[in-house]
Amino acid sequence: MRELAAVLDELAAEAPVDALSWRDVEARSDALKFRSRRGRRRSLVRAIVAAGVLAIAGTAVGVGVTLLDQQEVFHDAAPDDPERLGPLVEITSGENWSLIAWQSNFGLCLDFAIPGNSPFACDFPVRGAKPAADTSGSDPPVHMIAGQVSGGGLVGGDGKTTIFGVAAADVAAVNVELSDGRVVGAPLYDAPPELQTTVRVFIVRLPLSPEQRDPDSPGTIYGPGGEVLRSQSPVRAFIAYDRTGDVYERVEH
Amino acid sequence: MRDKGATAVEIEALYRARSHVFLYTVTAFLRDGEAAADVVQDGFALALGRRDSFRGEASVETWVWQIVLNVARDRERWRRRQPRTVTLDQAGERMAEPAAGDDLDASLVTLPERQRLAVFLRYYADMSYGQIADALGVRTGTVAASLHAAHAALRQQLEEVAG
Repeated sequence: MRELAAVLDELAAEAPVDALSWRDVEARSDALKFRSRRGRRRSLVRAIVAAGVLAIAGTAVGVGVTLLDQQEVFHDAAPDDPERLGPLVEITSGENWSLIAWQSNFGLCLDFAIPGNSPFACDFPVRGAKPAADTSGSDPPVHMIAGQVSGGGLVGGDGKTTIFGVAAADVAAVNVELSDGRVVGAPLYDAPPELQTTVRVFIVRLPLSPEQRDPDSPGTIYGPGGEVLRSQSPVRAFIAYDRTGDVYERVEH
Repeated sequence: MRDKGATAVEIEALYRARSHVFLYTVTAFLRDGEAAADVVQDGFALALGRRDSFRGEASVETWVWQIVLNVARDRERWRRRQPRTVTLDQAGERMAEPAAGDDLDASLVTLPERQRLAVFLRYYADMSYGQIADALGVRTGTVAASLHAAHAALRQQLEEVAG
């Protein structure tokens, strides 16, 4: 099948062989040892990304600077991040972690910050989560709730995986349905006035089984040879309730 | 029989000798060279970090293929979940008259994942049916059936184009 060979040759023609570097492989492997996520997988739209200025931030936090300061450094050092339209504002925090929100041209963004690293998510497709200055060009927000799961490696030292997101202003309660069948309630926080939004923010932190805590792909379970036995998000659905306790919306994750 | 684990030297040697083959295969699978390079680098990084878990039940290369292909599949699933944006220029390109070979190209895309991977591993990596079976975690007979079905589908497409 000569034609097939020609098509296959053409398919591989754009392979960037110059991008191959053993040194880069070693660096990525070292990064995995630190159980951190990389910025190369960054995608602005409804995706967790990592601001990867590990050395700078690690040093900064080490001398007593807050996670808010760390995030300032992260975002200032990442010109490709969404454009910031306001201050970084802490929503809630715990030992060695902080949930930080900020307005961007992609709408409300949430950083889950731990010392030295911070996945963040923007462009939540939730009513009220987009500012008038939205220049992202993404779809208009239509949901009552949307959420994300941070990398299992970003556990802040306590072995917990973090699930966070945004709910519309009139959502009264949020449940997170996990892939293992558990349903957990997620505390809701009103956005502080500096954020100039009516949406609410939720976060829940819970332990996954050790084999599910993959730094790059939480929920993935590997076999002894490194093969993927199961790859499934630990979250099955986000469920928003109204003030009467009725389900407003259930969003599969 | 080897002791448990692969060595960093083995993985580096494989990378230096064959990483371009991995890259061709994943590029064809993802149809995105940049993403493919990221996948190959990530896959080898995972293999390097997990080399102690290698059990020696297949070759080191087959084991690394399993890891790289799993990363590629994960990337593909992740991409499918993302909203897609098409610029006007891209839309115009898609609407342009298809060139010769585009039909076959499109047929390749619509093949089931396992058939596509079997074709790519056979062509780019020059792997035997047994090696492909190990890399994909299926029986050798399944590989033979997958390749037969893939070629039949593509041959039919070619005949339709010619006829």
